[in-house]
Amino acid sequence: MAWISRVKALVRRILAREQVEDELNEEVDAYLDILTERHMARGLSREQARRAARIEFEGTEQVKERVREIRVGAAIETTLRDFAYAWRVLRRNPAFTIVAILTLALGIGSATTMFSVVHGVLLRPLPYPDADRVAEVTMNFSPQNTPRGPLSMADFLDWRAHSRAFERAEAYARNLIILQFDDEGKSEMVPSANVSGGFFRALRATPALGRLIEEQDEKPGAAVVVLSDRLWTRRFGRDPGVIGRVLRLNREFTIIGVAQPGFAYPPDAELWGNLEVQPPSRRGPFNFYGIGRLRPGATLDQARAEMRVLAERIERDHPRDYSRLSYPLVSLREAITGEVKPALLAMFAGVAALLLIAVVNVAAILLARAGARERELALRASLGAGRGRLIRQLLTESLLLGLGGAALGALLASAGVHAVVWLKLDRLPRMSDIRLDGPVLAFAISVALVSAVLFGLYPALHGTRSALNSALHEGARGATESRRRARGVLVAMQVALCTTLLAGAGLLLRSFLKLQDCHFQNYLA
Amino acid sequence: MIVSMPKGAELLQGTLDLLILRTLELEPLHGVGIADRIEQVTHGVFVVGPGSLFPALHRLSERGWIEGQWGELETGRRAKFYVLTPSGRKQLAKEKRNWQKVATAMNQVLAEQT
Repeated sequence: MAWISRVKALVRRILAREQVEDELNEEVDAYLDILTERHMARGLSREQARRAARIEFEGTEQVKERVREIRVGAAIETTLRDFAYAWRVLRRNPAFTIVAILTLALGIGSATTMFSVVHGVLLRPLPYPDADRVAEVTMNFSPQNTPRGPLSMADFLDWRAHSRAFERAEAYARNLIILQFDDEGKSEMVPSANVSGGFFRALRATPALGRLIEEQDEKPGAAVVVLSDRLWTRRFGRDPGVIGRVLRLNREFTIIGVAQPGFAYPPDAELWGNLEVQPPSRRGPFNFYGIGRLRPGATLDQARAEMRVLAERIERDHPRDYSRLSYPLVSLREAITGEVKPALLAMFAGVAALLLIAVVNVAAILLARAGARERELALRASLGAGRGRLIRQLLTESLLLGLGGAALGALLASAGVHAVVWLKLDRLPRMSDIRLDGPVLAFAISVALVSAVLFGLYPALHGTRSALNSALHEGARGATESRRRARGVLVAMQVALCTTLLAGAGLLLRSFLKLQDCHFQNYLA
Repeated sequence: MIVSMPKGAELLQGTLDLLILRTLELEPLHGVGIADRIEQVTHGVFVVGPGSLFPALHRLSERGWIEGQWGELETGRRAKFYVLTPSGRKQLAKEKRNWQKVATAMNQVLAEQT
């Protein structure tokens, strides 16, 4: 059990540091004394014997240092010492430290903000059980040519009647409803949906209160609504007595239930009314999106094949309505976030470029400072510090800067996340899933560590090389020369990054405008 | 590992550990005593200076194979005596076996070549 004794030794060293040192000193002294006595016994004077013993000992301090080095935890001690030293260096140069940390904080803060959006919207699991078994059914046909357009009631019913791969074939239509509240006379626009009877069941949703819309509500004449948790909170003060009350819209609806917090499908919906399912007299209007849960064992590819067969048949039966008909299936995640995904990723790439610019800037400052620190490094080199040791020291400083940047950056990001949520960036789905949490903070810290290596490594390698050079011969010209070249490279990198960022921003703006435009048309439809 | 060797013998890595453990198998000794004993037994082939002895003693203590205990010399001077622990005894047996294997193999190689 060698490791037990090592741990014991480590604990002892930490708890009884001075005692351990005293014992080492005494042990060495005793050794010297014994050697001295032996020399005295051979007839040397005390003075001479002492000197002979010292010569024989090969340097007491070096021996002690070698003993300290082999101890467990020596590496930890060195690291702590490096950090303490780095802290002193940074504190002695407040202007440099503040500029570097602010620069990094801006980069890390914006990257973290954007990551929390990407994480919340694109990466976080959907709040629906087995969401990967749910698909949205859309249609595309000539002459409309909308790649993922809505269905007509007739198409929905054909799909429902013939589907094998789906255990549930449901539909919903998106609406914006103007809610008027008699008592306050205020009104608000609420995103809502009319949903078929099995809609909630297809998403495996359960009510928080009352019941959800069920099969019986598809019958003509039914008029019921389910509230979202948010609407229930905002408008009804979470009053459980709301069940059974009448909500006056274009006609009177009875409130039958409240959905679980977080349930918001279609994205942002706050109110769900029943969808009257009646066989229509014609193929249109096109208002409905299908939503289906795959039967256990069935695959999305099977479902796609089935939809192809269905499309062929329907196109054959209704040649005057459709040509080139298809029913594209879209995964639920794609249906929710597909539209904003390219824009979010482009923005993420943008802040990554911003972060790189910050990193390059800090590297440039560090490089400029390397000149001023040459003397200090040369001194340490001549006192016996190897190049690895010096690089390690400089990287520790970078690490400390990076962590400072991460701390301040996290604060900025928390403000940034609030701003994003507060701005209600138009039509960004899953807003409520955007927050600063463990994974996001882990991202910030990893970014800081990687940045620290990125901006610290080159100046450290460079600075120690010239320090060792000038330790040999003062004011070597080669060092200045290569520093100038390195600075040129950094400036070039910065210009390149800025150009990329500007071009990217232009493209981003265009794609955003297009996105907004498309949403606007959806609402008018 | 730096061991001064006046007669040009190179000390293999780990050999010093084996020498120390073997030396302590007989009786507890302080640092000078260990160095003396090794020099004596090897007829001066291995002269172990404090520069290698101290790190080796502390490394073996860290592993729990030997243990330092403060004791008194005849002169009344306090000194640290090292004692072989039970796990050190096991380690010694293991290293002895290893050494014999290596030594036998080496001897065979050398015998073949001459």
